[in-house]
Amino acid sequence: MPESEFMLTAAVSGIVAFTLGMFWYHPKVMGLRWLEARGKSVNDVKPDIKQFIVSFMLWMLAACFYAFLVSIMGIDDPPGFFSLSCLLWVAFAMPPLVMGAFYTGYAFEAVSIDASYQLAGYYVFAIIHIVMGAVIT
Amino acid sequence: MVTAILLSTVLAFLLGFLWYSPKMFGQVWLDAVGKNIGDAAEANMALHAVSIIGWLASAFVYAFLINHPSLHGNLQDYLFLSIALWAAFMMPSKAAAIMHGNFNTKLLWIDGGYHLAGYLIFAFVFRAFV
Repeated sequence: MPESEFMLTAAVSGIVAFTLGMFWYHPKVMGLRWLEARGKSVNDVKPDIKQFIVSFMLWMLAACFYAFLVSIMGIDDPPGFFSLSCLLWVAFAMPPLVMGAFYTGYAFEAVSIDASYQLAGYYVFAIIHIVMGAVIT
Repeated sequence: MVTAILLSTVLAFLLGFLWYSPKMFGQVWLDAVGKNIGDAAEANMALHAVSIIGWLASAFVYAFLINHPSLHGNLQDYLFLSIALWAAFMMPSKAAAIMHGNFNTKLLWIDGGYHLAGYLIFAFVFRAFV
């Protein structure tokens, strides 16, 4: 994959996965359940621009390394993209969250919402790679 | 390959006892989550089983990745892979959960540091046995 296409695919993946978070944690989707699980109310939440900036940068980092793995492993078909997403989530994103929840006694429902958002984000990576691959070729 | 998966799982899991001992980061971690030593003593075999399964899943996928010809290389390559997996996938998921929950960031660095150390163990074990 040429460098310009690699960077474009990684950037779009990161932006879309980050944007998904706005919907995922919206009160009408998972937001209220997430707040209840954490023992908070809507009034307790004070949006902090720093959190959004850090979150955006972390998604961009994940998207870049996902694109790097796709490129170096020569993955070019939908099953390959989705398998990579599942494997990365099962091995490196989900275990630390679940371990942390068990040892701290932190509400498992909130952890499930956080972990499933990560998986959804990795699926977004897969979909963007499939779409961009089709558009570019 | 099976030896490397099992050995790296066991070593990463055992590292946790050292990492979270009161003389290392245990007391700071307990303060960060608002617990005391008595609460920590309640950690039972079921909790440790979850931890072992988590490390086993990580080791299995790590083995899958380095088994690919383009990622199969020397120790430097494995160390890079470990750090990249940690920075790109482990830390963001943990950071997002802690950041939005207004948890103490010390928790992020202690847990994150433990997982980085575990992934670096993977690099050394897999280089030695695969």
